[in-house]
Amino acid sequence: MSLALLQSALLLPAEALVKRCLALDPLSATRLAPFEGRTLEIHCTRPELRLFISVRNSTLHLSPVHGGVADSRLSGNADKLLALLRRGSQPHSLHGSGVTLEGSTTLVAGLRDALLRMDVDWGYHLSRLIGDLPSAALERAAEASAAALTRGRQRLHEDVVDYLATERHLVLQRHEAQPFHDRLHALQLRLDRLQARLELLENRD
Amino acid sequence: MNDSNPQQNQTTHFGYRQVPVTEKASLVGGVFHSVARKYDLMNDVVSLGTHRLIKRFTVELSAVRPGHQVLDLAGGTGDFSLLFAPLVGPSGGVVLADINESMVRVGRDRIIDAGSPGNIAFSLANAEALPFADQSFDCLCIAYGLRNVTDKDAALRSMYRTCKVGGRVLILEFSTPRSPLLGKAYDLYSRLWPLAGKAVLNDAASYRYLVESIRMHPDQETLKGMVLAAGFQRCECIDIMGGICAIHVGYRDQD
Repeated sequence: MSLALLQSALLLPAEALVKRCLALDPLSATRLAPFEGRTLEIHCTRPELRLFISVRNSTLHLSPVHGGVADSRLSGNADKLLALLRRGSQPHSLHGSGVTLEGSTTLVAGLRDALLRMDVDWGYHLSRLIGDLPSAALERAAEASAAALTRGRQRLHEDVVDYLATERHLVLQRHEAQPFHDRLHALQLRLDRLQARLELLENRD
Repeated sequence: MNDSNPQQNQTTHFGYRQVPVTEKASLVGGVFHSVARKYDLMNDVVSLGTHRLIKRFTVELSAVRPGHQVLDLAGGTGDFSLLFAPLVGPSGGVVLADINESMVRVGRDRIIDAGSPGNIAFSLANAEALPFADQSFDCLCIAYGLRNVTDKDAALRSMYRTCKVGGRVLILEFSTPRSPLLGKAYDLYSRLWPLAGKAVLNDAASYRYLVESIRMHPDQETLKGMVLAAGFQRCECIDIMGGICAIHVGYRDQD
């Protein structure tokens, strides 16, 4: 149980960050309101870890333990859960993902929706901390970087698709390779037979 | 005269000392009157801040929901009440109860200073004879308080009486480390507490009592037996930090 206590300590800053972000989004409380008092359990089977996400007072509470029964439970190994997180899949597309969902799908969808649609006016909050001019410059730089990153990713994706499409045409297809393989096999058989006859003739002498 | 009151002939432990049963409450009261003012600071010092984490962890085991009634017994300076209050919401309630007036005063002031959520009530109450109706609370919590109670069995029975069916009691208390090595290290560390008490509060005696009372407190299995003997149908024991502390969760599943 000391591990759970350590997890609890590690979750504190994460929870503080989530709460802070949710507090900066004026619509998060409305999105979370229908799930007040409900709990989602995320059970990582390998390594064995549990995380409970509860909706309390219109914000999220993270904990490694929960005294009651969770309303929903997502379970799978760390790889599968992380893949799900990266993919941002909807709960109805969990089939074949290696993650199982028990209980309310509405809660999972609602929490995902609240987190993904979080719309925080970072510029405004940053300007209150460091002033209007630096925050505007930072905001522009961040937007430019994000746009460049998005363009870069898109271009990389297109390049990879083009490359694979071109290479695909150059590579011998299975239906083209099969007759060649068959002829090669027949030749191999004839050679074997020829070899056998030669050995037979040599032995007769 | 003494024969007419058998309690006066009985003794109990106050730290390592044996004292008459009737005197223990006032002696413990003296300790907490002395430390009330800087109780939280000293908790931070001796636990190296981990008590906050342990309290939060304990509350997670409570399964308290909006509308629930919670008794924070031996509630002291109100740490648990402040954690429970947002969970029960405006439709529920928390009662901070303590036998020591100084602790209740400090707790009440602290809760008001923290912007009282309005659902916390205060009660000067003896855990052995709780002044509440039967089955009043969904959850009862006593943290670092049971070892100071003179008659622990009576306190547990009283908690059982006031616990609703389906409710639970949480007992957070110092306990016995499972590993002898950890026990030795903890023993050495706890010898520093009176020195810390002397430095911060100019009161070494109170923290000497704290160390002694921890040593005299029943171990995990004994306390589990006591919880079950009080009437709770199930009891789980959760070791914290290798058994330095333990949380006993007693469930009242039926009448």
